[in-house]
Amino acid sequence: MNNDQLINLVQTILKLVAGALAAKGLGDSSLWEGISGGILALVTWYASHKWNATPASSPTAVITSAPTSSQSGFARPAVLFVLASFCLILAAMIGCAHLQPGADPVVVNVERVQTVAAPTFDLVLSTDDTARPLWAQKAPAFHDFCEWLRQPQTVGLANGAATNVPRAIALQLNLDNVKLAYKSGRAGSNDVFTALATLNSAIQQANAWLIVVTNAPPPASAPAPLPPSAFNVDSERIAVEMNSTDH
Amino acid sequence: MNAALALLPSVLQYLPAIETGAEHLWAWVESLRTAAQQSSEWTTDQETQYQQALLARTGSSAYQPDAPKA
Repeated sequence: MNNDQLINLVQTILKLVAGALAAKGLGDSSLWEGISGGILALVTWYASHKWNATPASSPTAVITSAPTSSQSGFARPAVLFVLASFCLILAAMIGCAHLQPGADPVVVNVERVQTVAAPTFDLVLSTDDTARPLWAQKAPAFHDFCEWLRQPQTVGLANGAATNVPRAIALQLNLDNVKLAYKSGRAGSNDVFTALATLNSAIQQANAWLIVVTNAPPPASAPAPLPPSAFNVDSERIAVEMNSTDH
Repeated sequence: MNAALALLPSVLQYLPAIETGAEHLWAWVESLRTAAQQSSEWTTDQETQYQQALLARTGSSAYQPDAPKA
């Protein structure tokens, strides 16, 4: 059996197994497609590198050089196991779903960002909150960014009332208000994209800071915080329009 | 052995922080999975839950700004 035949055989087996599992309700087709792809990639890699088993070394053999990773009998299963685990975990974690018919992609994409935004801000703010004096001293720019996220902002709620909430929450509520206005035809997609871009910028900065503060010494230069003009969603206008339509 | 013992107090000191961080990190990973697997718009109940969860965060200590310096 040559490499192509081996890969085709594995591909067929994976399709059959994935179909059977999906039919039984275990995961969906996209999840198993991802897992199958990962396994197939490993098989292809294995076959293309001809990682056949190393002959067992004789006890009397003289070791003249250190084994390379591809020669080490111990390294192979370990590397394969780690890569296979990584592929399986990644596929199980991500496994993107297709949009159902009738779902507005603009709204679904906004809601996907909303789903990720809150835990992102939770993570970055709780990281700073565990040792505020330490971060203020060792990484003042990071602490300043967190303080910027904590500054109270006035935002309109869905019921028309206005309240003061931290900026990290105000950004999300603003996007939610714009999304609801868009769904009811009182705001355009440009308004949605503007609010989405604002929130995305804050999320990206938060992610960048998480990478910086968990992996490196305090940076000499820090990313600049968002300018006040970035926070330009006219939430009051949208709230007023929502009220006027509701009554 | 001595080096490991010397590190022990530091590990114990940072254990609560690691525990807190791990909890939020796992929630973040879960949110990525949830977002990737979303295939339709939120229902009214999900929308309400989302807004309530956001407003509930305002009471969290992590979201409170530093006390003004005297």
